[in-house]
Amino acid sequence: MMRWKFLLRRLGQAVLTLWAVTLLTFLLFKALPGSVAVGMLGIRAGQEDIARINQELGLDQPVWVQYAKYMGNVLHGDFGTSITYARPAMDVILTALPTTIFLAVYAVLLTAVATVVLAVLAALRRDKLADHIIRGVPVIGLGMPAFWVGTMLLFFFAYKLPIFPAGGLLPGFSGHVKSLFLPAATLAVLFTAVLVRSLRASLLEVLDSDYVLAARSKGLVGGRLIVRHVLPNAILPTVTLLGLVFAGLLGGALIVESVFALPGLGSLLITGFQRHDFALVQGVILLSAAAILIVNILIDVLYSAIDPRVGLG
Amino acid sequence: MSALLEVSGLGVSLNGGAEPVELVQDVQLTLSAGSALGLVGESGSGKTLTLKALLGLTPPRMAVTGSVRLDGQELIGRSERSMSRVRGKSLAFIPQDAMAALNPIRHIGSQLAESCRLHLGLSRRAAHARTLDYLNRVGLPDAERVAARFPHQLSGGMRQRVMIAMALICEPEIVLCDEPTTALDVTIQAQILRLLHSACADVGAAMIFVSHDLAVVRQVCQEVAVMYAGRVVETGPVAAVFTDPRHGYTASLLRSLPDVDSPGRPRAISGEPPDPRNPPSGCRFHPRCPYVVPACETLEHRLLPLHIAGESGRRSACIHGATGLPKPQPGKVSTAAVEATTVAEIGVAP
Amino acid sequence: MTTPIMMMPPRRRSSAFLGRVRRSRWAMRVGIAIVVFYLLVAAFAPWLAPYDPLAQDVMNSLAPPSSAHWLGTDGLGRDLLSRLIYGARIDIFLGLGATALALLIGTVLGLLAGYYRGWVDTGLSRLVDMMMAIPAYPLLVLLLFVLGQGTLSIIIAFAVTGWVSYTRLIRGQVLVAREQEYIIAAQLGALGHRRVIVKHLLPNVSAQVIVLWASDIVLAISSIAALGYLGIGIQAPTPEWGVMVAEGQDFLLTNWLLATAPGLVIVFLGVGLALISDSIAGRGTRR
Repeated sequence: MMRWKFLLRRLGQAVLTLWAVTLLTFLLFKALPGSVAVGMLGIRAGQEDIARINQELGLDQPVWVQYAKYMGNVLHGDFGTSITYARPAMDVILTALPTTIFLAVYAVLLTAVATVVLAVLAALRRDKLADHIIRGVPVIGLGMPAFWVGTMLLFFFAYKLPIFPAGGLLPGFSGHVKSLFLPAATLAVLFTAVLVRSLRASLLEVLDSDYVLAARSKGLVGGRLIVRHVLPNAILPTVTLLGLVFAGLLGGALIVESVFALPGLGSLLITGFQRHDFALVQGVILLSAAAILIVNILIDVLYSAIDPRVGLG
Repeated sequence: MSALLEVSGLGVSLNGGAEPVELVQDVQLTLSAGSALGLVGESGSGKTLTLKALLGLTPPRMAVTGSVRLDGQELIGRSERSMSRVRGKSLAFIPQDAMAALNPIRHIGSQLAESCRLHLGLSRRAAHARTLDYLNRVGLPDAERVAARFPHQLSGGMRQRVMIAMALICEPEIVLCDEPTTALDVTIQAQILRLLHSACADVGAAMIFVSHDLAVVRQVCQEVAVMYAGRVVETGPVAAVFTDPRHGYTASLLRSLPDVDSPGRPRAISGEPPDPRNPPSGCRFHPRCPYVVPACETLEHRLLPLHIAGESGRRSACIHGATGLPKPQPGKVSTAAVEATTVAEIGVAP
Repeated sequence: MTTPIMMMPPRRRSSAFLGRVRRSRWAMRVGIAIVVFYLLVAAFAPWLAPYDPLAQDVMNSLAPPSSAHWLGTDGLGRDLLSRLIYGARIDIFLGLGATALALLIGTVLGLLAGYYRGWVDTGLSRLVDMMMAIPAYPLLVLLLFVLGQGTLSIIIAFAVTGWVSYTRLIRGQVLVAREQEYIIAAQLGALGHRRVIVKHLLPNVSAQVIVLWASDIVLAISSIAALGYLGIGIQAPTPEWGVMVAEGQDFLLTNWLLATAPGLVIVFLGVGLALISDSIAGRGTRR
């Protein structure tokens, strides 16, 4: 019962926020110096041509009328036509979406594995060499710009040692796995640096706790102890960080797609930016905002599912 | 009759600074099957650490020496894996704070079932049935609902009953209790004690009952071992030890409790428990002892058997052990009225 | 009624912050040394750089490190070292400027929200929640889209996206302090309620704000470089570190230094800032 009320409330908030985002993008775009028509036709365009384009695009209507039309379209999933691709922006975006999703999921998986392995290693070998090394990594890792890490990985594992393709997306599942490994690894390196610290501290706290002592006194040991008692409790604080991580992931994907020349949402955003293609830019932004909101809601639900002490709402 | 548990020369030391610090030294205990041994002493006397040493759960920086024989099998020096087969199965542990000892994010049933599936190899169904059975035995009739609950949803008393069930569910030979009633309301303490006593009897488990509350120990245990500053200073049948103490510390302890039977006001022990890094020479209690004689300062610590008419199994490390305690010296005993009935506050000088 | 004051524990005012500084170890000192080094390089760039960063020498392009050009030259024959040094100017000052503006706006809004409460607070909190839901990078891109390119646009764009975390932090601190100070102020009578908050609150908050600012600067510089790399922010031929990595990427196989050095420079600065913020935050190598 409570779950549904909570979900509804959050969805309501999400819708509200998305609406605010559309308003924001619309207003911002209207504030653009220089008109769209000029952007399309070039600076030397004649007055009649500009007027014609403006009429075609409905730009000569009063602002609120434009907004109404715009919102109507958005609700139908029509973000307008992409100037660059001469197709509905929605189509273009949907074509690029799977690549970005694959990349994001891939990165999350790699991050999860790396974080858990490193944090557990550091916690179990507390104060020994491995621990100090693993603790030192975030200090360096946090400052590393994604585009540089990507370029370095590209250098070492695609150029110097031709293990992976040097950019571009290969078709098919295994093609994806191979060509998206380096981009995903780039993101994973950065986010592992953020999360390892938190997980390690949490693990240490749990390992010292009374209930782990009690569990050991019942005869639990080794893998079973860690998986059933230590990890689930230790992961909780890290789960709350996941929301932030995901938001950063989208931004990072944007950059990484550029480094590795991947046809995902990030590349679309940049193309849209360079070509003043409002439909494209707006579509990508709305989609990203929606994705982040949904993921945040899911994370809250996930957290409450793990920890029974936390009620929803 | 060979004892179920024989502990000799048990020591726990902390390796930190320049020299190792002896937190527990030369502890000697015997426990027969089905009986209950009380382990009493002030906070910091090393009682809980002794229990942990028996289980092999001392913190990683502490080194354990000596011998602990369960059914003739040596426990000290075993690998973690090997000890894990003993814990919960032959040696069970009931900690002081039940709330802290339960995994907050798993429900009660699974935590109980875990033990019996691990040690008894039961199927999920069988383990669940056994869980419900034991929850009933510890006085929680609505077992199905309790099993589905999480720790924070139960009251303190219920949680402690769950801990008792959890300790007994694999029918261990020995149950180690670390002040199991201290964290509870006075009104529930008696109930839980009775439960503990009868449940252990049902299962046929022996008990080592750690407490700083002499009155409780008197109720529950047949034998008692008194600890001070990491050493066992006196052992014997509880009634005998409490009516005829043969160690300066035991006597001081008894005198510090308000007792309906004995006359006069409770008298606190002057001074403070020693710092384990720099303990007094000889008998560690001698600076505070009302019965001290010069020889106490150089007395080597040995728990010697006493031969007293009408009593058996008594041991004491006191110089007066065999002959009985002389009259206490004035000035060594503070006459300040003591409100506390628990030993923890005895060490504080007025 | 002087008893209440007597009974108050001594207030650690600005010593709250300095005390932590004094208590820190070599990590803090190394961090400060690094940051100061960068600041000096940025400030004295014209005197330190051996060449004009924009001076091309196409005949001498893609030269390996030599005594004439310590780090070699790039695709247009420009001296890499000089470009790195001048890049410090751009990235560091831009990073400082952008974050400082965000800090300023965020602090003011946070103080207002925490102090006045009521609808001001509610409104701002809603705004904060909304801002946090909007993905930062796309918004940044959108803002740059609208504002056009250039230094001022970058500063404004970062300020608009960055003020949120400061507001949340400050607001939280103000709310906590308010509870404590309000009681004391009530005891003291109407003696400068506001003054008490300002005098006692700000010093205790500064440590956390500095920590936030330090990590913010790292992120900002990283982002500025990223935008430069993407061609959205600072544009070539300006020697911005991100732009330099993009330019160097074409020559990875022959002159890997061109793409690697700018990145290393950013990483190293990040390490310095991280050391500082960790020491203040009490983290670092001890648990």
